[in-house]
Amino acid sequence: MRLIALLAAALLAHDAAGGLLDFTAAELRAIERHGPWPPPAPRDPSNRVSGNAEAIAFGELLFFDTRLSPNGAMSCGRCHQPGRAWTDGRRTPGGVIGATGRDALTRNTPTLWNAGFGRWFGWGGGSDTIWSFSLRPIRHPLEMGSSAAHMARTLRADPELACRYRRVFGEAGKPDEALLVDVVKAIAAFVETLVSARSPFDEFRDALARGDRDAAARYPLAAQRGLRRFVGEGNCSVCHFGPAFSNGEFGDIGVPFFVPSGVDSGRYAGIQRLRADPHNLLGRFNDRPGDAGAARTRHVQLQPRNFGEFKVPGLRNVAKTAPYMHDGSLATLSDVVKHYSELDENRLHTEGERILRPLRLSPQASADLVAFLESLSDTGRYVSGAPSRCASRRVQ
Amino acid sequence: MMMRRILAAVLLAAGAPVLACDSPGADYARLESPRFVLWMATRPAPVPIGSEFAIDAVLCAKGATSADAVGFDAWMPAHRHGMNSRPSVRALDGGRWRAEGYLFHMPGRWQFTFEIDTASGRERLTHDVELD
Ligand code: HEC
Ligand code: HEC
Repeated sequence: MRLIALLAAALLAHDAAGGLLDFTAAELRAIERHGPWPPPAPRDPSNRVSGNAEAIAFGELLFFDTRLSPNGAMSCGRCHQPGRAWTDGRRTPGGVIGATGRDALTRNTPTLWNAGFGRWFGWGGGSDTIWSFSLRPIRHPLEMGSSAAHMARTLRADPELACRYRRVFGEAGKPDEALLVDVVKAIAAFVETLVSARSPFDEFRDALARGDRDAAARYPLAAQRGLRRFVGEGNCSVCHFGPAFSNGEFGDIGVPFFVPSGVDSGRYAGIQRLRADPHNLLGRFNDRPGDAGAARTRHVQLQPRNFGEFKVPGLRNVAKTAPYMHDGSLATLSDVVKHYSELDENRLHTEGERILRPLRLSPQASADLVAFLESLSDTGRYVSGAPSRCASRRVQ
Repeated sequence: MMMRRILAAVLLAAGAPVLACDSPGADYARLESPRFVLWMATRPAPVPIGSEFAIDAVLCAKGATSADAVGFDAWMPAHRHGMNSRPSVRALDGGRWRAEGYLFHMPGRWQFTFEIDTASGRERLTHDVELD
């Protein structure tokens, strides 16, 4: 009895002083795959202003400009708030838009951190670029409720916006529709720059990679144990793969998909929407139609199992993006871990060897997994990059 | 289905039953069934996880059999699920095929499958890769 108490005390002391688990070679390899971070800045070949500094600054202004919505109340930034890790912090944006019940939007506002590394956008992946996705909230009556005509009018009437448009795209004399596509390409150029900064996990991963045990031992033991489960028994890395902690595809983890109007079929409807979208990569608005990137849209395959699949979210900064899941149904990271721990296998429709099994975690093991997820947070803050005015104040 | 037909048409047009069965290059793997040999190489190699890749393939019949169609695909046998994409196939010169649009979205064991239809039935060739 006394021995056990002593041992426990020793373990605790060890925990407080740091230390390093004896990771196996396979674990080390799996951990290393979640970096390095940050990767090279994402670029979108279908968007000719991707990476263009003037376009990024213009896009940033547009992102926060409520005049883009006819009632002057809504902007991208109202739902994707920089202070809330580019989410609205709500289950769904109902409160933001002032609609509830059947009329409300039924999906949770995802973070835009690291969106630029994605292949598909929206929880169902109904769009293949950020710019084509962005047409949706602009036009959606419950979001910005805008139109090409309203957008073009606003842009042409405001000297600052008109000046910035001209600098990036040339004269604004095009048809309204073409102007709107330019506008979303500038916004997308801005969104792509939202790459999260380094986290404690990255320091740990790099220390391990260069064999610096002392530096690695600064990473809390609880997070190390959680990480071990994440890449090991939990199988989490299979879907939350790579440096951004997402394989960019879709999965079914048994989150119910009933909504007031029926079901949200997720990826299934997403592929149908993608194929029907004249602004997809196969359409005429792609600035580099021959680019290999468009192949993903040509080759995508609609399968019955897509029903009820949702996008695998990246996990960087996940501690700042509550609530969780496509419907915002889980309030905290502990709730998410509980979901994986108590998984209802009947809800998952897989035929083969299961990737997900209920983990039946002890309270300690659950806390470890949460500690690991929390270690994916950066300490960076968004700093506006918009440079000084474009239009001269005198010219009106 | 589409690619089966395209490939069939090209194969027949080329009058393809007998091609040299030598290795097209050091990076090609050799697959064999009773009546066919298929060489394949991934582009790029090794296969990346989570991004698109292509394969180059050369198919030859050991005897006078001709292939009516070849289906290119891949799956994870353990999880019994396939890819989220469907490759498309086109002919390169020298009897080679380029199949584009493969994407392996998770680590683990994947299996390339080639289903060759002939007048007297189907033959299946497979090649396993372990991604970690
Ligand atoms: C009313 C709130 C709201 C507004 C306004 C809004 N969004 Fe969103 N955003 C959402 C929701 C909800 C989703 C998830 C939609 C879905 O899955 O169908 C989303 C998803 C996205 C995504 C996909 C992210 C990913 O990784 O899949 C992008 C990109 C995005 N929004 C950008 C924008 C831009 C740009 C604007 C302005 C033009 C905008 N949003 C305006 C709520 C909003
Ligand atoms: C089969 C693929 C798969 C596996 C394995 C998996 N996840 Fe997920 N994860 C998903 C998908 C898909 C979602 C979104 C589901 C939805 O919204 O309906 C998700 C959501 C999450 C979220 C919420 C993120 C957010 O922004 O809403 C967290 C956190 C998370 N997973 C952590 C984990 C952990 C920890 C494990 C291992 C115990 C794990 N995942 C295993 C696919 C997977």
